[in-house]
Amino acid sequence: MFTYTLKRVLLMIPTFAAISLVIFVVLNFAPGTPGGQAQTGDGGGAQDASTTGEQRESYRIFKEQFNLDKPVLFNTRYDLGRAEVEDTLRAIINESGDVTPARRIEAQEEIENWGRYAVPGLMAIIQDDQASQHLRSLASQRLTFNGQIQNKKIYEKELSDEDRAEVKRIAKANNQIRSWSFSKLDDAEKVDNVTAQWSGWDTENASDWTYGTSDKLGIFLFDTRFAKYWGNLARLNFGVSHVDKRPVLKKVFSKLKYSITLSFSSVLLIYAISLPLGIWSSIKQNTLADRVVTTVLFMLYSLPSFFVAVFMLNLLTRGTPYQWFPTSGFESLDTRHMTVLEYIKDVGWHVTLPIICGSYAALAALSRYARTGLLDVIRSDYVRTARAKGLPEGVVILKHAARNGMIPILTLLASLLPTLIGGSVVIEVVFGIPGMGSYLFESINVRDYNAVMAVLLISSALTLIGMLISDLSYALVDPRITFE
Amino acid sequence: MQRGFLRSLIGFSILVGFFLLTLLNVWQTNSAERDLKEMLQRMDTLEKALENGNFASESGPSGPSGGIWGAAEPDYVTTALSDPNNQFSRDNTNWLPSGAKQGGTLNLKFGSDPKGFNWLTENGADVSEIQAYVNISVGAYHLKDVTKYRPVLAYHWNISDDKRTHTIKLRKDFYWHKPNVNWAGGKFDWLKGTHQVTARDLEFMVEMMMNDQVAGAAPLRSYFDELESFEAIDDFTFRITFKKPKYMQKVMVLGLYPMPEFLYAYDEVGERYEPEVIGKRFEDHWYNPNGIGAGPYTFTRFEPGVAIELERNSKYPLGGNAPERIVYSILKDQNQPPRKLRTGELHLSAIQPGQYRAEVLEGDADSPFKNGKLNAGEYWSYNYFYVAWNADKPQFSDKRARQAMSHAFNADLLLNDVFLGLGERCTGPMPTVQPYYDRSLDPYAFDLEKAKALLEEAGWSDTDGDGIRDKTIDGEKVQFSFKLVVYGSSNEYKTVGNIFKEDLAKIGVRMDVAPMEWANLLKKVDAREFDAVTLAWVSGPPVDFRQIWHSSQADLPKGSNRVGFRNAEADKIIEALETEFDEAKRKKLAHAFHQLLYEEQPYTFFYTRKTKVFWQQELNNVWFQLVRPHINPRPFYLGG
Repeated sequence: MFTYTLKRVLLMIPTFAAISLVIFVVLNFAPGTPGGQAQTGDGGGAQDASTTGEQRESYRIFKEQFNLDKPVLFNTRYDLGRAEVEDTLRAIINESGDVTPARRIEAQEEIENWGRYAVPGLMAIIQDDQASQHLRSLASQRLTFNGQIQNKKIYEKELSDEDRAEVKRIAKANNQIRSWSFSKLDDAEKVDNVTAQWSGWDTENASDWTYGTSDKLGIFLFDTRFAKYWGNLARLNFGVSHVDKRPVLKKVFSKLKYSITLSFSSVLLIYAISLPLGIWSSIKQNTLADRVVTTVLFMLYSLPSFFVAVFMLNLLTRGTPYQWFPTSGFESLDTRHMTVLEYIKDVGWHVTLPIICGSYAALAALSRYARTGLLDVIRSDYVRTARAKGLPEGVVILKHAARNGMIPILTLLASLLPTLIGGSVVIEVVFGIPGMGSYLFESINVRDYNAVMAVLLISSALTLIGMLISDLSYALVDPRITFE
Repeated sequence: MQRGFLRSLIGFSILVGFFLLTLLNVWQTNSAERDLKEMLQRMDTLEKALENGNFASESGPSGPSGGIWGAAEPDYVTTALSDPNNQFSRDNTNWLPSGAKQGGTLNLKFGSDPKGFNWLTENGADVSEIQAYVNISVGAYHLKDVTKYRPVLAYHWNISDDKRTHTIKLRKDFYWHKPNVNWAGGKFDWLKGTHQVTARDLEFMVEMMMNDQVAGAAPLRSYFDELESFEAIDDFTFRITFKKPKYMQKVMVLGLYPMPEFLYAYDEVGERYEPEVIGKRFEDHWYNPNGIGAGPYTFTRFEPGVAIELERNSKYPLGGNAPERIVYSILKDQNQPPRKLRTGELHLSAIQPGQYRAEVLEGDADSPFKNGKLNAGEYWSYNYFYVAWNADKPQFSDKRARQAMSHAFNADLLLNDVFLGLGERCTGPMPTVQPYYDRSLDPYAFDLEKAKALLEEAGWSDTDGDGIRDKTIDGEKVQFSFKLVVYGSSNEYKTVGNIFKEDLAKIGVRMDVAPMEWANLLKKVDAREFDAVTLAWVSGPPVDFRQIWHSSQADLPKGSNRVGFRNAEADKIIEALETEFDEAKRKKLAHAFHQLLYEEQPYTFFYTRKTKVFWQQELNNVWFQLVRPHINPRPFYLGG
């Protein structure tokens, strides 16, 4: 048993890595960018004329903080030569006028994202007297940005004295080069002076962009979005939200209270109804009553929950015709002056409809499982023996048959673990409950990568654990199954 | 094994006894807790009364008494407002009528979770709304006239003769609210005491705005690229100088607001941030989940996904704040507000066009939206919807072809049937509510014959008889067919596309509708990979056409002049408007620009939208602001 468990746990690690890779890649290649314009959601696609202006410098800082300037999986930028850099600069200048706007937007992103990797190429251009001054001036302007060292320490919460010194040193170095640029109209003397400044700076810092084989391998594999993300994840750091710059994990935990209450009560309700129902219909197998129940359950099963949710909201909360339940939310707006009992009552009143909506569909599946489970054992020898020794039918079914027949049902419980945490997106959004489901939904809308990753990874980890527990619980409940 | 009857009875009785005892216990604990809660609540009230130095009886309004509950106006303000060089003038409209009642809890709604309440780094419409009640700005537009300015924090605003230097004098009776922190435990004792709003707080705001590390301030920063210097001359005088004078600077200076340096320049234990990192620290400040200001309402609570709560600031010197508390429920599902209006959980809410159709146009006779149980009104916001024509495409490079498109666009029908008449036809690059909007122009009439004639004139005719017009350009035959990109999540726009498509087919133009999700749509538009697109612009009262219409913006990647509009005359007007400070001349220029674009039709200008609002009977004095936030609760009062 121990070896089996160990094997399974070890297998979970590559599985988890593969899952995270898939989510990461899909997320990063999906259209839209974090920090870009969020959905307007007002139906017409209205844009605010005052906020669409160029905000390059801030966006660059934003990309830096979240490693969005790095390639997603592999980094080959150590090889950037003059040709590629020049090609990009030419696209931005657009001298011939035939570069498409799409390519120009891309070129601007490219040169920005290359950061210091583009320095050798830019240096080669600026030092080339034969190149046009327009090109050289752009190279000098780019150098004032690309030459800067990323001052990543400023994103950290706590700074040691050493860190502080480093932040200061980098800020100083960056400030120094910020003004070393010329325009395409400047005279030759200014151009020469600035070029000389850069040449001196280049020789001084040359070691920063001379890469050995091991450096290259390191950059290729580790200076990427995915590697950086995993580096943080290994330290259980899920990062901060792009949106409000707060730790994602903390936000996820604050949503747990809502989602767990909902899912836990749903599961309880599902089991409380579907077990007896399943047993009852297995006793009444193939009677008219059994068929009616089955039909009704399958009708429920096929009703989409968003439809039922809206239907119930309109019927039971608006006051026309009935106002039996609150229109939305997990609790009343002001719960500060409630006693514990009042609070429980308040929450119970609010979550009744969401729980019903989240449960009715599962009833069909689970009660059918219970029915088959019992039918499987009801004809076995020991049940016949029990009947033969004259025990009442109720005892036979409940004490002898049901115990064994329900084993598969109990193990299903473990596989419910992820939904227990993950919450239901539809139910939470429609009923306005600020749990994990609505958090996932909103994060996807604003492309908050870190938040989406955190929620999905936590759910997949739970799925893996749930499957393991479910397999193990077979052995625990049923002594006939072993993993030796 | 058989148990004795007596033993079973005893066991059962003990169990029942325990059960009853537990019930009793729960009941007792609960009532004890209720008493405790009540006591705490009373202590809170007492503490607040002590703080405000006010033990007024229940009937009398609390706080200083002046205008409608504002403080008496200081003499220096009265004198300053009669100075002709003062940009501010007295606004004779009050927020509240004289018989208004104070008190009560006003329940409103919010459509999303604000990301934080740092006014400078958060510029979402939701946060700006809260900012309007919690914080104050240098000045504001007159309540019913957006061409004049009323004083708020400042009382005197002078612009030098060369229009480069603005000198602002601040009132001396504004104080920062008490920060919304957990005062127990003494951790935040360093924040205690009263803090006056000074010119230094304005200076701090501008410092942070101009700091590169403060990414969130970038949209604002771009308006200050001509900034030369700024300084707090003394505690109540602030001066800001620009290199070159521009009209928009005036609007920007009016909108400046103080940020409390005593809070934002310090970390959680009261240590000042180092200058190297203060920008980044300010951007991600520990106080950002809360808001602070010196305005009519104090920020008291924010629970994500649940509610935002504001409390009345009884010391606010300008008054105009009747409800004791304002609670914003956060309702992300747009279907919730109408339900909550029905149940009375919301006092007032705007509703979506679709809901307007369901509840009013097609609603039952006994719907509270129809039977008078709810009051109805509407507000106009600064927006205009349009169909943009990419002038870099051969089909739309000729203005006659664009005019033909406008004549083939059945705007009146679409506005009335698809958009339920919730708007007004718009004829130029300004919302119809713009004071400089030229009302003398008539919208392009729906006239397919005229459209046909214009296309013929522009050289587009069906030479090969396939039913689609064509034209030979540089030896190549080009067909008049194009794709109209529409916002895919909106059924209305898909309908617009389909109706337009049918009308175009009648004049020999082939058009396909391409619905696109928002992120993709923006990408296509930024890359100019579109023929035509339906979108809208939202703006404020001042006109500033450079970003959208100047030819210098036409070749900028991701620029807003996405239709490639290049017109020398238009450039001249735009540049003149930027430096013209005289309102009468500005109006003339704006009209000339409007007429020029009416002729050129770079867009088919569609309509300016209005929004329907419903509110409960108990809410009084409901009117809507001319500028954002339109639903501003300051005039509202409850009861009576």
